[in-house]
Amino acid sequence: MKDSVRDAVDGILQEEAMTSQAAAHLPNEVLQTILGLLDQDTFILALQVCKEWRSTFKADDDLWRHHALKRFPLSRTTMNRNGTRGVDASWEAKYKSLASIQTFCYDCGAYTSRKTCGGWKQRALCGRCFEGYVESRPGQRLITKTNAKFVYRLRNEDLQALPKLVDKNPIHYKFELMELYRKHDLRRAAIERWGGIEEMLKQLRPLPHV
Amino acid sequence: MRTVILRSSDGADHIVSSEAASLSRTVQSLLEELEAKEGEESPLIVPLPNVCDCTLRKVLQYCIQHTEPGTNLTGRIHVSETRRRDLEVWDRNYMLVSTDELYHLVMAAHYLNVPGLLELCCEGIANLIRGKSPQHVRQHFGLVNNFEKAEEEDIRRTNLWALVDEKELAKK
Repeated sequence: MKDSVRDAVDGILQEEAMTSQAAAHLPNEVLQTILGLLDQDTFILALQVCKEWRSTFKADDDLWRHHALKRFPLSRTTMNRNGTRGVDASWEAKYKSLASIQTFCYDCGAYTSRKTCGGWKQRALCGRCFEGYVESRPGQRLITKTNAKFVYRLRNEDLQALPKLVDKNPIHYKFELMELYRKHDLRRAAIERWGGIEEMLKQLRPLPHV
Repeated sequence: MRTVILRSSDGADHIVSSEAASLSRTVQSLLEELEAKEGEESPLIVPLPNVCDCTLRKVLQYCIQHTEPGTNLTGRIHVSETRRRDLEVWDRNYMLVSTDELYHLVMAAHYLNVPGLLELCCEGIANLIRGKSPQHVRQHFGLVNNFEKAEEEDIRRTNLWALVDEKELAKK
């Protein structure tokens, strides 16, 4: 049902906007229903639209509850126990605290509470992906430094400027830090080094482990 | 089955079966009142001053479609599988309206209290909001950014926690 309606409404998207006074006068219940139907990305953005919409969120904790349970379906119980100081905390606070703990794995998109320790931005990797970098899989969009140098035939100087993700070495924690690079950054650097896509493709070597 | 006359704000009459009309809870309760007052025989005329003619026509399309034989008034659970699929397709085509019409429709559905239609419209509007930046949403719905500068900055800062790169991930 949802998908079918979405398809239908996509057609409308391009059409003319509502008349100026229109949407400001949506009844509160209707607005609540609409905001409840939004997905988690859009719902955060909807907070920033205008005062009326924001106050709808402020006034209605159930809306926060709805979104919290939608986004963190498994935390129903933990939420009450240790979500945020005490059972009495509002769902808004619970949602925010959960959202700050729980993030998405940068590589596969699964929920994870793991944090990688540094990089061009704070990125999270789930346990499975993290382990996976020891033996690179072709589907991964991140690649370790050693493999990057091998596959794209790059030197240390080429890699220096690129954004990277730094984490403990998954083989042994006392080994050198693991540095992960994005494949599309590497491709760009390789094109620069070899002077053109054709040349870069000639230089490419398959991953050593696969 | 009795017929009912619904009179829109511009005075146009629409003749529908009472079954279809009762899909709107507001009309249903009005009908009950009228019936008690006027008796069984006289024609039932329900004035609806808040709904304009073209919107009412659109709403009635929905009501009639959803009360055709095979649809259960009390719930859609007993509806046959094929019938439900047909209705879904019909609903999808039904929602192909301009934003302005959609707005009038949602207001009418709210006033007339037609739960199914209201749900459908809300879903439609939610889909309009999906994937738009706040600026774009304002533009589209004719809203004004009435936040103060400092307030807006504050919101953006406090919302940072939520803006992990889900968007990026969703594209994958």
